[in-house]
Amino acid sequence: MNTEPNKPWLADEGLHKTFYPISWHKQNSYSIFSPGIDRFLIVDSYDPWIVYETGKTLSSKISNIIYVLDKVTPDMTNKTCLNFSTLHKKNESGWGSPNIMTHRQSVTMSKIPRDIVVERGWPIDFVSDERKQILLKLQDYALFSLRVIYAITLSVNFRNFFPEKEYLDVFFHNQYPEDFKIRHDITKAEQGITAVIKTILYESNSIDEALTLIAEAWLKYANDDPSGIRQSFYKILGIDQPAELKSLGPAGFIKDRNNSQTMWVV
Amino acid sequence: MLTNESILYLGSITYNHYQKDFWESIRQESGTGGKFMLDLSNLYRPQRFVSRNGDWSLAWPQELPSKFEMPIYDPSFNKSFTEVSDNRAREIAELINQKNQKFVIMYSGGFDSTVIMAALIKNLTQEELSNVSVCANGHSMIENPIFWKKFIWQKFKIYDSSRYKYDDLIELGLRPITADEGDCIFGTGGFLELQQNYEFYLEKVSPESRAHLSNLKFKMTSPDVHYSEYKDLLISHWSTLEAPNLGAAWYDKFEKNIKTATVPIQSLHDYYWWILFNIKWFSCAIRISLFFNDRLDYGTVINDWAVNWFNSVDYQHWSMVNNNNGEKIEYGPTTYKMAARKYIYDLDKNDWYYNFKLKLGSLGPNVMYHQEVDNLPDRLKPNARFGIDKDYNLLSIDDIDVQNYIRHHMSQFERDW
Repeated sequence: MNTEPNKPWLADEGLHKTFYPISWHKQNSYSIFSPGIDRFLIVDSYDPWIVYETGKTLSSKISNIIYVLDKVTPDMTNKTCLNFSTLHKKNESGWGSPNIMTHRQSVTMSKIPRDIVVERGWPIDFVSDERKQILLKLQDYALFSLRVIYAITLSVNFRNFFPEKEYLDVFFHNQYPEDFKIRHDITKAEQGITAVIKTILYESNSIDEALTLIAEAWLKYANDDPSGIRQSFYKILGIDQPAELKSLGPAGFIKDRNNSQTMWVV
Repeated sequence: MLTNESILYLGSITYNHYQKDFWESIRQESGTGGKFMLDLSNLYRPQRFVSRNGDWSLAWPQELPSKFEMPIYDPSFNKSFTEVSDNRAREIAELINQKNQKFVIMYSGGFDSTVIMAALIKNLTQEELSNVSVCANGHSMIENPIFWKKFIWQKFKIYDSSRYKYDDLIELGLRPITADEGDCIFGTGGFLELQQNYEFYLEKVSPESRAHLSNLKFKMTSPDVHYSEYKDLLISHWSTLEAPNLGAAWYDKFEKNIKTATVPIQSLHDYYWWILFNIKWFSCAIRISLFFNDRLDYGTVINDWAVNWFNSVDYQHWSMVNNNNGEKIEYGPTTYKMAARKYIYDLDKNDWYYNFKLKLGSLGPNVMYHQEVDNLPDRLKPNARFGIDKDYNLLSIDDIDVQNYIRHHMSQFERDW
């Protein structure tokens, strides 16, 4: 697997890790498993819900399930997990399981049955060079998506001071006028910047395409955002903001004091 | 009026599922053949196998509508999957142009219904496509999101398959097109399940056989290894805890069918393909007309309205001459239905769908589960529909004359294989 310096999502280390001190020095608690390939696509040590969200965005490309592993599996890393499978699927049944007869395209999360992780070698359907490359491309994209979702989730939750939509949907169902103008977050995205970025991951064909669309989305929806979500996003992702975004200037109160026409006059 | 002499088109055995007490009482009275069918339905539910070729005995007198008979095997057939699919689309275009018929595609997002959509999009004009609608629901979108966004959304009128059944669509003047025999053309999920759990089924065979079968694991789609080499594995696959001898009885019965069939069956994949192509075809062909239609006469729906996309002579010929060449499957599940993958890729250029899409069961969880059935009397609810007789009359398992008919025939049905 590639560990190019311009692809920080290929390394297990990263700023996202600092948000999970309880998981430091732990290994491989969560994974994305593909019943079709019959192999683990990626592993992660920090956050099952981020892995779950990654599985959802990846489901446009490959159906998968999220396994919470039963024990530390030091040999199974993101460099080796495409060689690891489970012994069989007979003890897992019901819709959404990895069993080929009942598997679903939408993602489910499951605790892995005990002691069934086995090393099987490279998957037989992907031995040819062409098929091997597409599988490695998928794994790269999965790791990239995982890091993007860490970045957007952590950034939005730490920085979003307009989370009205979620509050109203969950706590005020049918208790407010339909024409209320409600915001998901500090950006101008109607569905919220998190949904915009997840949809980009869901629809894009490559990391380059996704990065371009993500940059365009920030430019479109958050060009005067004072919150710093965008800056946090790129910092956790581990890459510099594209020049056009960087040229928008600093975030936070400095930018807001300089440009806002409404907030600080009171 | 159902009598003991009545001939059925279809009967479903739902042992241990619906009307449990009735089926349990039937078990007490059944002959050895009847008990086999009940055990089989416990493993492969509902049990509706009807043979189109070769010997396959059933408890009751059975006939097959001529529309669903198997064409005679023609080893010289040489049209490609693409040619056959393109031609099928042009047949639909003709019905649009000559009779102004309107169609609705029962779309799940899986390979088979996506083949239909791709064929129509490739071969029909925009004007012809204006006579085509799509019946789908949220599952369809999730199963093939890119195709939905690129080729369906805002291009076709869409009906919600959670609300519109066959009768609703037909009453709107739309002929439903179903891909329900797609699995029968390509093979079977049962094969993939066996492949996925190979080690599990190996645990039940003798150590000598296990060593032999371990060596054959990656030859399941090879024409060089006859399916009978896997006999012990097949018996293991078709046995249950409740019926440990079921696998051996199944093997013998299906072996008799294969030996009397007029189509060559060679590899283990052929074996599982033949189950669907031969004895499950008819059930797949008419099940939506029977179980997704509450008001309209079954004969009218099956014969005059429903279009079974893969029930064409050419598709069936194609299926019979394309075993073990990679068109149906190369080895594992991401190569299953390879000819369909290629045909779809030619239109959508979606590498991910082409390389990684899995066959998923769609009818049960995606469509039938969402059906509104509260307004139906119990005897007409889908689970109560035992089948149809030769005059397309509904036979409800809740009706006493149907129960007496089943009891009579199951009690007399002895193993003849």
